[in-house]
Order: sequence, then structure tokens, then C-alpha cells
Amino acid sequence: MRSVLVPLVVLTACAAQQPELPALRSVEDMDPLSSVVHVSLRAQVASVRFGDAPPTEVWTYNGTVPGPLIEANVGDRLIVEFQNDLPEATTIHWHGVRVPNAMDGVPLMDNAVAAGGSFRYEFTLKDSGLYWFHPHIRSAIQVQKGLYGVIRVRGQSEPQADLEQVLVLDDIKLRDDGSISEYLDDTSAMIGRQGSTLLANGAVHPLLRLPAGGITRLRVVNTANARYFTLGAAGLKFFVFGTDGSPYAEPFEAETVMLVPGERLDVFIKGPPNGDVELMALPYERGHMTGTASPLPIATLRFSGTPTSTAFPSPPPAIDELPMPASAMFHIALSEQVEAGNVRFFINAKQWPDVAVWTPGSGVHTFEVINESEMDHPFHLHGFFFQVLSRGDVAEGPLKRAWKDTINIPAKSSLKAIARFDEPGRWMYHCHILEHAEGGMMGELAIP
Amino acid sequence: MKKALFSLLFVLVGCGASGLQAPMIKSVEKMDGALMLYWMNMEAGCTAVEGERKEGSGAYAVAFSVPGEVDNKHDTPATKDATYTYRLRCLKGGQASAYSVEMSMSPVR
Repeated sequence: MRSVLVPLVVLTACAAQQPELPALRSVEDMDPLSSVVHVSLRAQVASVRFGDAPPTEVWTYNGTVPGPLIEANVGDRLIVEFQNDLPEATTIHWHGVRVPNAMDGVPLMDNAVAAGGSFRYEFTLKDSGLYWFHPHIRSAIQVQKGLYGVIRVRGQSEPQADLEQVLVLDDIKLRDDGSISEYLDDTSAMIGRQGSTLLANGAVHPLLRLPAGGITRLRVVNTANARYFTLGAAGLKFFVFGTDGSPYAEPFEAETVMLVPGERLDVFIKGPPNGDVELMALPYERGHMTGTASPLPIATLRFSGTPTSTAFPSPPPAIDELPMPASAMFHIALSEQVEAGNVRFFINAKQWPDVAVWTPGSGVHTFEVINESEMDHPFHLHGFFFQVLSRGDVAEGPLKRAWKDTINIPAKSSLKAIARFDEPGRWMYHCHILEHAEGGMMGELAIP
Repeated sequence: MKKALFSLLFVLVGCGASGLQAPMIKSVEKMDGALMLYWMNMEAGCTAVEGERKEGSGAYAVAFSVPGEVDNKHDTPATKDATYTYRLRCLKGGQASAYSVEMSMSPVR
């Protein structure tokens, strides 16, 4: 018996101490004006350690994974001096942020920043919320290598909590030597790259200290290439307050919440008086047997301290319902096909860049996304928010009304939505499983 | 104390003292008219995993080679109404592991 115990003691003694959840590094605002946020971002190669793995060469904004947290207020002018010190061209796409078309950082605008080059992004932040930024060139590789960061835009009346915590979720697939593989195996080509190591703010299974009995506001973003994060924590309920670009008209409680790649959630939790709870990534069947995976721990939530009397926030004022237009509904059909051993992804039976351009004209328009494929796809619209009208034949209730820019379209289902196209330019829409987007599932919307 | 040290040594050495570990095939499944292989890499740092296939009672031949960190392969040429059998090995530093245990499946039946 003692001989069994000795190895156990040795192995336990060598185990690394659980790291604290890293705070997101802030970035210096170089402008003294309160209404201007002027920052520098540098895309650069760096080396980091993910848990016990050997050092990993990553691509970063300002040397960290995730990149820095940009803090601003709604109405601020954001100026980003961007320097690309990577060995290849890149862009910054401001996911969810309503920007002028030339600032959207997509290949359509032909403003890729060459290796060694620079670019000045500048725009006004029209909406409060949690947003993120990432490349839109070879994004399946560049995002996987660590190029992503977060923008938090504060509104005039933010809900109160004892603690507010930004949680950036990702996963990463590491080789035994700590390096990141660019090889796209057949399963990853089909369902997107899913890493075996989960990251919360860049750390492997960190400890997140939360106020006991108090209210914590968790602002969560899924930056993974393909993983759907279904969050659950035994004994905890999530008070789901908002999503991508707005609160819900009526917040609701849920035992689990799901974020598809690119999506954000604004949730509040009330912890137990004391103790630890594991925040888990639960399996979800999004096609091709993805639901058979085991639950994976994301972080330990440790509740301690003196209970507070803070309550969940009151429902915010509902956002306006967009008026139904007279124009015909546009249809976006998502499909997949295996051809000569390679899986290909289509929009309206074509692959990017051969997908016919959608030209609805400016104003309010409706569209339907029809997922004809055998797996779920997270649909992302650039430049504009949309409101869900219905899922299949079921009308979306007014209490669920919110501004969305990224949403799941389950396999063999459809979703109708409405949007106001009020910014001219060429905008992209695509599946936010990055391997699917690069495999052809992207389209273009042109507004005069 | 000696006994305890022996136990520890046994734990530490037992993983790789007998050469490279062969991969372990988890399943061979029908997919899109062909066969999909899933396996587990038992050896750290394989430079490649080589898969051999035989049709019926024929001879094995190399069907694919993928980087060592990969754990799946959609064998799209395996489409006949036949039973295909697979075995895998890990390649590392000019050495090869023993072959894995075989697994068979038909993409049709």
C-alpha cells in the first residue's frame, strides 16, 4: 500500500498550483481627451506557456494572449495605430462593432496590412457592449495562433454588480513540443479545429475568485475557431442579461448557456456563501458526433468573503422593434458537400468568392438563413446588428428581442431576421467556424 | 523505503522502455460513402502516423501518412463493397513502432 502512495505523493507534489485567472492587460490611452481613446496595437510573435506544456510560439497583439482590453465609452472616438510585425499580411476586424466600411478589416476592402506595414483604424463607438477584434485574413490560422483581443464599451447606465469580470474563452490544439499545428486534419476540416486545451483569459483551468453570496457580472466572449462553449456550473444559475449588442428585453434564468464562436453573453451569477464550483464546458451535439465529447473544466469559481445584498439588475428598457419592410425576404442557404475527399462549404450553392452579391439597398430588410447541412453553423453579419423574427416556424417573442451579430443556426433549421442597413459599403456575412468560412461559406452584402 | 523507490521507478519507466508505442485504433466508421478512422496516439512526439489498408484478404499497402499529432483520417478511396482492414504505426526519428491492433469495416454493408 505504501508503495502505491509514494508515487502518488511524488506526482501530487510536482503538480503545478492552479493559476489565478489572468487579468486582461489594458492598453495605454495616448490621448488626454476623455472622448478619444488612442491606442497602439502591434501584431507580433511571442512565446507563452499554456499550463504545463512547453513554451508555445504564438501570434499576439502587444505580446499577450488574449491581446489587450480596450476600454471606452459609447460615443468615444477610437483610434488604433496598428503595426504588423508578423511575417505575413493581416487585418483587424472589429467583431460586432458598427464601423465605416473601410475600417472593417476584411479582404473585400483591399486594405490588408502587409508584413512590416502599418494602418490607422479610426471610428466612433456607436454602441455599448462587449466586442472583440481579430484578423480576417487566414483567420483560421491567425486567430488560432492567438490574435484576438477585447473591447468593452460602457453605456450611460450599466447594470450594477459586486464584481464585473471579462472572460475570454478559447481552446488550442498543441503538439507535444508545445507548438501549434497548422495541419488541417479531416475531422477539423469538417467540424472546424477544436483544441484539446481550454483557455480562460489565456490560462489553463485557472481560479476565479468571486464574492460569496454576491452578484458577479460575467461578460463572456467565445474566441475559439470552432468550439461551441456550453457553460454549466453545478448548483449555479445564469441570469442572462444580454448578448452581442444589447440586453434582452427581459433577462432570464438558465442552468446552461451556450456561446457559438464569435458570440458574446452578458450574464450575472449569484454564488453560494462559500466554496468552489467548477465552470464546465458541456458537450453539445452540433453534428458529426460532436456531442459525444466529455465535459471539460474551464475554471474553478471560488466564492469567499462576506455576503452582499446586491440584487440582480432590473430589466433594461427594451430596444426598438424594427418596422417590417415591403421588400422581399432574401434567402441565404448554407450547405456542405464532400467532393473528391475534401469537404466544401457553400452559400446558395456557391463558394466564396463566387457567391452572388446581395444588394438590398439601404433601409430595413429581412433575410432568412436556411441551414441545409448536417451540422450547426454560427452565422455572423458584419457592419450591422439584426433582430431575430423567428426560428423555423416559431416567432421570436418580444421579450427575447436583442441586437445580434452572431447566432447559431442549428442543422436542418432556419432563422428569419431583420436589419437596418444604414452604412454604405461591401460587407461580409459568413459562418464563424473559421475553417468553414475559409472553406467557402462566406457571402457579400453591398449597400449603396 | 527500497520497495517504495522501486515502485516509483516502475511507474516512471513503464511508459516507454519497450520502444515506440503503437497508436490505438478507436473506431472505423462509415462516412460519406467511405471510411473514417479515429485513433489515439500512444507515443509522444511521433513525426508521422502511417496507416496501412488491405482489401479483403489482400496484402497491406500504405494508404496514408499524416502528421504525428493527428488522430483521424477520412479514407475517401475506400468506397468499394468490400471489407477494409487497417493498421497504424508511429514514425519517429527514423524508427517505427509496432503496428497497432487491426480494425475492419465496410463502407457499404
